[in-house]
Amino acid sequence: MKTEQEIKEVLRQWVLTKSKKVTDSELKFDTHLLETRILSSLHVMELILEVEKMKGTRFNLKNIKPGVFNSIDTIYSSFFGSPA
Amino acid sequence: MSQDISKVAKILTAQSIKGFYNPFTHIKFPETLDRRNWFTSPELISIYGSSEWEALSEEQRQTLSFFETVNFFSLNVHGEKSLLEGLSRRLYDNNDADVTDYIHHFIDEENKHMYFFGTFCEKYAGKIYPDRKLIFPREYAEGEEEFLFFIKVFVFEEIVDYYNVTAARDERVMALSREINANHHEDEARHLAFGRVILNNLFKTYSPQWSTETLAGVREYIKNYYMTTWREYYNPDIYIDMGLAHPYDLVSRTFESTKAKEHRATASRASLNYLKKCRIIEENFEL
Repeated sequence: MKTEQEIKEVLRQWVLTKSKKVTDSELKFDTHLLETRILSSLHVMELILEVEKMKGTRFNLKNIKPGVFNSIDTIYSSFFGSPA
Repeated sequence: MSQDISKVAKILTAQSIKGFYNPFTHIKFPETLDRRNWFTSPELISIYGSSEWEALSEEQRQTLSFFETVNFFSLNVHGEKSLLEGLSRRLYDNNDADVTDYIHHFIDEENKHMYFFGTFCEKYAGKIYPDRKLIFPREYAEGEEEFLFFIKVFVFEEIVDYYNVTAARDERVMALSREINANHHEDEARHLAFGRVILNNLFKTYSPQWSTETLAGVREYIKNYYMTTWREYYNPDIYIDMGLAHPYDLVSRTFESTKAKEHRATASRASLNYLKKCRIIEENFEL
């Protein structure tokens, strides 16, 4: 089972691979991903699949709010931080 | 709006009136369906030609064709819901009465299609696969939001039409699925014609005013939207319903395969060529 830091790092690497708008040194766990347009709406579908894959479960997408994807910290706390 | 759009809208309205039908009696939905049928062409199935495909029996492949069709029809339900929202917002939003008239028909026909697709999914699968797309608000340059709305319609409908035409012409495919695909293609031919003209017109009107950064952003969006649209054709929910091992890995592996890339290139060629011809994109790109 991965630790919080390990999961956040997997997510950080995913963002770096998908977005050309941020460098390794710039991207922190609390960097705002949407306001800065590091990620767009179009990335989010892929990100949801990635998180589902990591968790091994499908989400009820109706409950997903935009704020969830603000940063790696918020993605972690929304999907991994507490039992679903 | 230019005279071209007005003229095209008028012709399309006349054709829509001529082809008007009652959706609730137009297609007969039997109580049950035998899943030992091809519901779409095998070549359109996401994992076609892969080792996973080769490992399936004929009956399993046909069952997979059912779930792939449920996914395809679900994508259409979600796509048409967004389209209806967008088109409704544009009713009486311009000075061209011919365009407004045609938007009424466009909405009417999309609503009918959604009824066919939704009925099939609910009646025979008991569900519509959920949509994983989320839209976040952002700011746009003048005309950019309008252009991006119609580019999304264009990409979505052009890819869908490739699947509709292929399945509708395929005699291996069971009658109901062929009928739904054929009917959709028939109406979509008009929507595609309208979409192409309006897209070209919007680009010609607004792109000269856009900054280099905005134009580059629009072109990047188009490429990303193609990719996102295509990704939905490789849905882990299908593989979960089929009981295939490691469904999420299968999605990634299949999407990245040479065979899948070739398929996407073939199915997207005509629409990319049109965008290039209109100088909306500079070069065709790999999908």
